[in-house]
Amino acid sequence: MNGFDFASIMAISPEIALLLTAIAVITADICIGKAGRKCCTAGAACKPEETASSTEISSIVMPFICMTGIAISWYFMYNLWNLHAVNGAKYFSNAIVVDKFGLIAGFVVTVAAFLTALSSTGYAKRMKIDFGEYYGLIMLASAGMMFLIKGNNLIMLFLGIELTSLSVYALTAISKHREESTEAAMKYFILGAFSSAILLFGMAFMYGATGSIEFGQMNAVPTNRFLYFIGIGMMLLGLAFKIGAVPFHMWAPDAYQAAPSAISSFMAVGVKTASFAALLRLLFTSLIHTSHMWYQVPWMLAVLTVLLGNLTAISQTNIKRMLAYSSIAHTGYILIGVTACMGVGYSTGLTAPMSSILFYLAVYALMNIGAFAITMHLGREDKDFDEISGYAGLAHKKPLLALAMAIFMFSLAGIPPMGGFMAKFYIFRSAIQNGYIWLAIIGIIGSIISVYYYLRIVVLMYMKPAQTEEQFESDQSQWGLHFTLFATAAGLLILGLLPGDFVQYAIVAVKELL
Amino acid sequence: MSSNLLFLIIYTLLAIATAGGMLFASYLLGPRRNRELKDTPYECGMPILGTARERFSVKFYLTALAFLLFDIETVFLIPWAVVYKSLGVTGLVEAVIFILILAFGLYYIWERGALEWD
Amino acid sequence: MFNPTNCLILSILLFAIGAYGVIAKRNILIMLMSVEIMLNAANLAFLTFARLYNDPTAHVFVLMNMAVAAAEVAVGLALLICVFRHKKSVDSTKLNLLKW
Repeated sequence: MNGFDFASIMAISPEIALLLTAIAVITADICIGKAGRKCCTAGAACKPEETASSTEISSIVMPFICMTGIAISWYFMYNLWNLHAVNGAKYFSNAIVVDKFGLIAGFVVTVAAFLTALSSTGYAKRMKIDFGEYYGLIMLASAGMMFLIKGNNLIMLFLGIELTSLSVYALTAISKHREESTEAAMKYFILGAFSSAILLFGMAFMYGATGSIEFGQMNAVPTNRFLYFIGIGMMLLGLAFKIGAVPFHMWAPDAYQAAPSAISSFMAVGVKTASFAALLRLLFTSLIHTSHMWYQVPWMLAVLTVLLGNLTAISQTNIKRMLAYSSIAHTGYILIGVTACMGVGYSTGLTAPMSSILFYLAVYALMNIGAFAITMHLGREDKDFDEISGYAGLAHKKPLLALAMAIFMFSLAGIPPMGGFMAKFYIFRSAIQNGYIWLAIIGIIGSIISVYYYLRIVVLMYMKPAQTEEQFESDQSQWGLHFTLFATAAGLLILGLLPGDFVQYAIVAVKELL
Repeated sequence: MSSNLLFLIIYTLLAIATAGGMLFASYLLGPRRNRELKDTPYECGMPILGTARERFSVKFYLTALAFLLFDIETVFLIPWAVVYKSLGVTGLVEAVIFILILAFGLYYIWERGALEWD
Repeated sequence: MFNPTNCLILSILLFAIGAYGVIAKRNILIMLMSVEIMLNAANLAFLTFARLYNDPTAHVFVLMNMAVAAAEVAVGLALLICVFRHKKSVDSTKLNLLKW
């Protein structure tokens, strides 16, 4: 049977679960919300209470369908993790590879999707974006990210990137009554499509130079160095855009600021994790033998990204835009880890930097989702709470919320005992061990700059009086957000104090990739 | 080769002669009464309402987008159709899954009202 | 008959035309069309190499790309209509609400 047996289906069972969830959630929205929508479009014979109740039900049910679907996909991932025979095996004519590296990265992505769905329980309704499409696109985007992580040839790489990006473009514009949302989505789309085309062109030349599109097979000595050079350059350019590295970062601030906060965090975390996983897999399974042609690219991007991201973040007045620049800076730290991977001989000292990258991505997911969840929690009507000056005096009115925000900010700045500190510590340590001391110093300088703008928020919350009285009133039950905040803050503390277990898993995973 | 070409030329000439002969005969034999009604596109039908070179309303864009998407999906069915005998039941099942996904797409745009334009 | 160099030069030219269109033009519709030209340039390059190596894999890739390009156009046009409803314009310089 050509690639259609039980083992193959099991290999992509987490993705299938996510895709079926997307279909289920849209069907549920259509079926439950039908009565309500029919009334609204017909206009005349509309019973308001009936409309309200049916859309109410669908907006409550949909996040739960999503979370159930993600839980099912976790179950399948757990199965795959335990099937040792399966690990590193390739399916569908070597298009899909199942290994622990992919499973860990996929787990981070699905955790991000889960927390997004969880925090959307009350949020989506308040923002008037509680359509089935909102949840369906989140599921499709996470399925795309999983395929991107698991892909073992250029086709899967491209399809994964496109499935992810197209869903995320649409999600950025999901609140289409807001002008800045559609504008940011349009900019994001044009730049994203442009970079996808560049990536594809690079892939074509890569194929021309090596005669194969499979990751393992592309490491033959290139027959034509010119084609190979163009191919590598354009592919790295396209991927640098997707991870948001300077100078290809211009989409990120606009998109993160204008999208609903739940989507901003999902975008930042999911796209970054998946793209970095795919980048690592591509670089270190198929391009490493020609690293003399491109070894300067990662450190240049890292230096630019760390410095520019941190310096621009200082002057921001909008917290979502500040978090966008901070996410660019974090891309830079991870790129330091990527550079560190190349400091030593192939596969001898690679384990430490690569596992530290995985650890960093996991920690970054938690702290970023947490910080964006605060802006969701305090927002009112269809706005997020995104003015930095508005946070003055938060600690006196909502001490627990301020504490959570302080945890996220400390973690983003990399102050012990939070997870962010351990993550940065591992990355910089592996850079130093592999002979990139100066790069680690640049990273530390960047972190010191970042302390200023992160701690400014903490200072505002704890040391300044509130501007107005009813500033922090949030108007409905937000248990989903409470749970998200608790889970992310607790996760950061655990990863900061007891990082050993996750790092062990990451090391096991990375060893399998190499 | 050359005889084939000769037949083709004869055939073409015959075709031109037949069509041209018919037109010429109707020009010779047909009665000619020029009236305004004769020049309208539908001589025996509705009176025309306006020019045919009209802009389409933007509300058809959803239909156009849906058409674009469903149209391009045949790109996957044609290679399948070429080799489907050698693929056997597996190929059939896969194609059915693919078409079911497309059918869900159709169901979705239908229920969302993308096919209604009034 | 089949000259891969010519095909590659054509595809590079198409790619350059598309890139120029995205960078230099102000009409978003034209930018979308230019992106499509770039994707098709990549497809042409794929097919050239496929012909060169007698390898069907790249044909599969091209089929996938066609579907992806269609999906991309659909999303792009939908976004464009959203933008047009707000701004009554498809001029990319009017996208100026968000900066720095």
